Amino acid sequence: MLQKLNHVGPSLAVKFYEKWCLCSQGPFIEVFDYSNGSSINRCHIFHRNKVHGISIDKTSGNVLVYGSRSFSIVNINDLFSKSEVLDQEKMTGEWIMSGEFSFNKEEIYLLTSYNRVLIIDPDNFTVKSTHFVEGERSILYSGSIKVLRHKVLVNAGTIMNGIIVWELDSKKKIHTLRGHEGSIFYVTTSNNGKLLASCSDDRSIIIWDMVSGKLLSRAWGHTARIWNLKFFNDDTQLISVSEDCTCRVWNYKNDELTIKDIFESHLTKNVWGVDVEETNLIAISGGNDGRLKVTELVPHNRSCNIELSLESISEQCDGFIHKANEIVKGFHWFDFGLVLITSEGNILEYLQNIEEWKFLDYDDRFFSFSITQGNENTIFFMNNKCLLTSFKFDKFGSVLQKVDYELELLTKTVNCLSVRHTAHFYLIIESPNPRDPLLMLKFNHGSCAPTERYTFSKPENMISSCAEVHNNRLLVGARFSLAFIFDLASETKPPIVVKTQAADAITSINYLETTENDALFSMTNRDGTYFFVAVDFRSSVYKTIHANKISRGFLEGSFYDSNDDFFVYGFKSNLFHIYNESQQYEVFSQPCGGAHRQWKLFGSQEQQQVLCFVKNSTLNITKIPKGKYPGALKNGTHGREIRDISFRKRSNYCKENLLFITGSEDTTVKLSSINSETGAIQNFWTLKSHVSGLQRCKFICDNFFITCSAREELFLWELNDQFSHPYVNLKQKLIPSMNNPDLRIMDFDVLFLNGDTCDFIMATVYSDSSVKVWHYFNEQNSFTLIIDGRYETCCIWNVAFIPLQNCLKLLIAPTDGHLITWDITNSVPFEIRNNELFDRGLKLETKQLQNWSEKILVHTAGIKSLDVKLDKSSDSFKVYSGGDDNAVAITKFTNNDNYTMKAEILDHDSYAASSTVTSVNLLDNDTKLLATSVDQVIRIRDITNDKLKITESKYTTVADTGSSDIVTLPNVQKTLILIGGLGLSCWRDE
Amino acid sequence: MGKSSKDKRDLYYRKAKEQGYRARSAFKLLQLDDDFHFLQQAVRVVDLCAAPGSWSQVLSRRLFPQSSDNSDRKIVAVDLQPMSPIDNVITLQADITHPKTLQTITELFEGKKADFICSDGAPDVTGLHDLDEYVQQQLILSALQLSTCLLRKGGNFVAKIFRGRDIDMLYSQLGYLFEKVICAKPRSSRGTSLESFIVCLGYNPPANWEPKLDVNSSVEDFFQGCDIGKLRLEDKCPNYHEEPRSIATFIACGGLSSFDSDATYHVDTSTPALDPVQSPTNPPYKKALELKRRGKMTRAI
Ligand SMILES: C[S@@+](CC[C@H](N)C(=O)[O-])C[C@H]1O[C@@H](n2cnc3c(N)ncnc32)[C@H](O)[C@@H]1O
Repeated sequence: MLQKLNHVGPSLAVKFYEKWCLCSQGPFIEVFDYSNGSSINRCHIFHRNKVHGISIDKTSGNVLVYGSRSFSIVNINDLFSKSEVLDQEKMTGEWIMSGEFSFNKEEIYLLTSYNRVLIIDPDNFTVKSTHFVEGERSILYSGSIKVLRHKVLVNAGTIMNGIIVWELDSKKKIHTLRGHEGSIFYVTTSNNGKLLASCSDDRSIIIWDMVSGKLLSRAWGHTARIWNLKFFNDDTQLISVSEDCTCRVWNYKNDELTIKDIFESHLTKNVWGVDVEETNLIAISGGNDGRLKVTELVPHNRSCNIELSLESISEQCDGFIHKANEIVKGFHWFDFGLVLITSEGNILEYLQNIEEWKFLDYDDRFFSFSITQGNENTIFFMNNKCLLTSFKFDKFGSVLQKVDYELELLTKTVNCLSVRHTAHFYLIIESPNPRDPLLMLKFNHGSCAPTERYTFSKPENMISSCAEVHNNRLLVGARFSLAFIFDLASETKPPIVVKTQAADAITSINYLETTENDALFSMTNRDGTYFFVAVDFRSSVYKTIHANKISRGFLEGSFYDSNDDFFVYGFKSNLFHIYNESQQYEVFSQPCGGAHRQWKLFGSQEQQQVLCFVKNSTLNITKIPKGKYPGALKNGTHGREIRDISFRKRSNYCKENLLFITGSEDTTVKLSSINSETGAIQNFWTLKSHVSGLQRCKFICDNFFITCSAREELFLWELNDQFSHPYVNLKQKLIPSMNNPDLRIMDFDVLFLNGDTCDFIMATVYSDSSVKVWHYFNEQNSFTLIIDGRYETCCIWNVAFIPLQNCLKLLIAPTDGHLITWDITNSVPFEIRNNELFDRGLKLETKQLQNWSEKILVHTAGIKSLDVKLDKSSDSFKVYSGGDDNAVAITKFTNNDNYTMKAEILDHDSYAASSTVTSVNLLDNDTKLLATSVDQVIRIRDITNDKLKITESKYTTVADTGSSDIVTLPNVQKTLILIGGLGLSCWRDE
Repeated sequence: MGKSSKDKRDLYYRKAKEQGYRARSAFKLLQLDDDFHFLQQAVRVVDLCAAPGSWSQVLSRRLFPQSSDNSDRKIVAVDLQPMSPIDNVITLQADITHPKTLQTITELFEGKKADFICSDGAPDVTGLHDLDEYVQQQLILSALQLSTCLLRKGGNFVAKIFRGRDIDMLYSQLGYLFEKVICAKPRSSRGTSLESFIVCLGYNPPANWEPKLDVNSSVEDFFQGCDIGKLRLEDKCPNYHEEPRSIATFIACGGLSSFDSDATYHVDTSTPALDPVQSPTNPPYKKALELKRRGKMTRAI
């Protein structure tokens, strides 16, 4: 029996109710406590249809839920406690666009897609009457009902005729609002009933006067279609969500709609629902990515922001007279406030408690050049003439001590980096003179004089950019994507040079953890890449175990938060932003004019982060708000269709969790884990190396997986699970044979060589009918082409190796509906014995693919998916296939002699589904076959007698159902099934 | 349709240009006809959702051979979008879900019946799969509604479908009105798309039903009197129940020798790209694009 464990997918309706948020997920409504993100209950509302809208009558506690042609009136308490209310589902003949309770709550109104309102008695569900406007019966794309004390207004968004506003009782048309181009996608009335807001395919928002029907204001800004609008704050503000992945807040004042804030909220273009909680000013939005995003609308960058030029500081600061070209050169943030130095050598202090500026010192030795570093209570200024001056403060900001320290080992100074640890503070000082050493000073906290001094001979190509100290080692990040590891115990030893695959300077290095002998560091590179590098200090060996790239912009640093989410920060166009890389959303952004300016991020994420930067010679100090609410109530999955899924089958990850990968149309591959008991899913990484939508992804063993897509992209990835998070690194790529962006690698299969090796052969099939076989040699990390050829001209969707006793067969399934096999025993430089591949040291060379040996027509259209059952003891195998012709078939191949086979169709069901069969998997020791199809039905067939016999079929709410994978849980004799499409659902066969 | 590199490599796209068709869709109709021959006898036809007009071009070339007497022949093409003129085709810019549109088309036939009605309609895809599928089915129902008023007994109907969740309900409904219902996919339609065509042969309505067009009734109202297994708008909303579904035979059209639209062909792309026959129409978001080009849509505020 198939049991549903979990579902992640499009969320179309979101609604705040007191301290909770009701969110639809497919046919369910899930209730969350939005203050902490905890899920209270999930209630199954409709059998098949998705929940599109929710309307709450607070006095009676009744909730009207509608979606597609279904609706239900549910008691709010049931949503908090029951697992399903399916028996309450009612149906109508037409799609429900909108639903509301009447003013006296004695009736409900349902607006249908044909511009008709059904007036229904909620007690017995009789349709009391249906209302419509004469002659206005074309199909709608949007619509809403506004219930006012004395009248009910219906707003109908048409395809061609603008918005038709009509009055329910009189069935009279009040306005035809024309002004938009294209279909109207959303239309809503203000709370007071005086205004109407609408959006259409033209990407603008229009505010209309409900009385006169006049266009009051029209605003542009969204760069793609807008899906939802909502008035709030006494109808003075409007929130919009759009295909451009942003959520925007607009002010409406003096008949004008103007933009106020822009938030990046979703991954997907399809953001459907939005609601605003007005007392705490938070918004919730939901879309196809299944993410329930909480956005705090409180203007974060106003309250604690300081924006001052030196000129205006000099007006507030006794003793400081600002010169014409004087600029801020450096600063450091303390608990009491800020200390800064100017290009003239003026040192100023800002005390945040009393909001006052104080002049501290003037030191002309810091004229024009200075570098500033600091720790809890001390600030260090370095000039380019080997002078280091420090000021020590008490906790109120009074200077306790000023110390000059001559860097006499150096002839000149150009850069000073700092590392702050709980026990010590380090300064790393670089000279432009190649003969000078690299100097490191170690300080006890609170001390202005170093306790220890280290010198290293400076590598020729090192231009330092960041540093870290760990385990008696100094790590220096530098330009050209290099890092150098110096041993503090042996200063003369040449450093370990770490080369990473990136283009620019390393901008941060952080020590994370150590397991076995490997110390793990995270590194960011300005070009947008970030790395995790494991270093074994004893053997001086390092290994990049993870590399990934942000979509846009420059990276400056990273950190893990207490929930184990990984964050990166840096610059994106003219913004500084902090991004939750694990969950893929922005948590903070601040317009700052862009990268390459004077800036620093102080503090820690747990306490308080402070961003200081200079823009147009103005100093800005921004305290980064710690979100009061969870960033998301649910994290969701890919924003577009999942094209393939693969479990890491052999070992668990952390107790009952299993790792799996998903490859999507959105061009990314996600590594996640799933709890086999609860179905709970955790996302780890979103890998962005592919440039086009994924075709296939598959774990080929416990620590390798392969992904492929268009542009002949095929990547081999290595998984590392020795640390507290799993990491993946792109180990090797296939080199494209030509520069054709449309040439897709459709599928691949892998056969490992016998023995304890990671060497394998791999077959790849292409959209131009090419068939290739490669050898992968792990020691050299190289692919060598060993067979090259072509089937015909049609696209090939599937490939499999079949080691049949002492022969090796290659099977393909193209769009022409045939199954085709080759005998490639003599074309591969390996021996095949007892279904295994042995390396006999034969020479690797590229052979041409011979003519195929068997070909049998199984499907009348393309074969979308297949699974193979190999009977190792006999000389036959069976192929289970699903096709674009809605059919499922079993085909058997039996050896005639060593080179030819007999192929026969054992069973064929041409009505296996009412739509394309997209994936098939053998289940339960190959006694059952699971098939998914675009009609959203999962069917299980008994295949024990080589006949396809349906035993079970279940509806799945995942649309565009396109992929599945299964894993047998050995200790419980159950099978875990993941189904992917637009969303992800998890089942257990028990 | 732009001139992207993908289009340049698409063999059907190139072929369409060579043969003077406005869109590669022309081959879908041609390949369907290769199998079902519904154009052989056709004299009066309606092409719904016709823009930019490649199906109408196929119809025009087939129905109006140069040398014969064409007086009784007629092609009416309808779309939301404007269409540039095609020889022997009467074009109409209108929404086919609007009852008035169907009335206008019927009037153009002056009391005569049509032999063949086709619809290649596709709605603005929103990404809400269920709504998109519903609107698509409503386009088909509108086309079907016209067919019941205009098609002669024994006439044929072809419409684009997306084989999604509820397609089997549509098969079941069509089964009540036609002798034979087949789901066909021409080779020129991509295997990765859900697109297929429903081919309904031999119009044969229930004997006791007289279709009546009324500008005040929607498609749903229209079929109320006709028992095609659709939910009736009764005076009480029924409980959820499974509605009749059936599976149609699936046929791939166009033969294995025709080009595979999923395949990558290595064509010589160094030859200059042919200009689109039909210049792109004004999209509704033209102004938004213009503002973006002028840098008026940045995130900084
Ligand atoms: C795929 S195109 C048709 C291509 C056409 N068969 C050809 O060969 O050139 C789909 C058309 O359906 C039209 N359409 C969508 N909804 C419609 C409606 N309600 N009424 C009329 N046309 C509609 C669109 O405007 C679009 O031009």
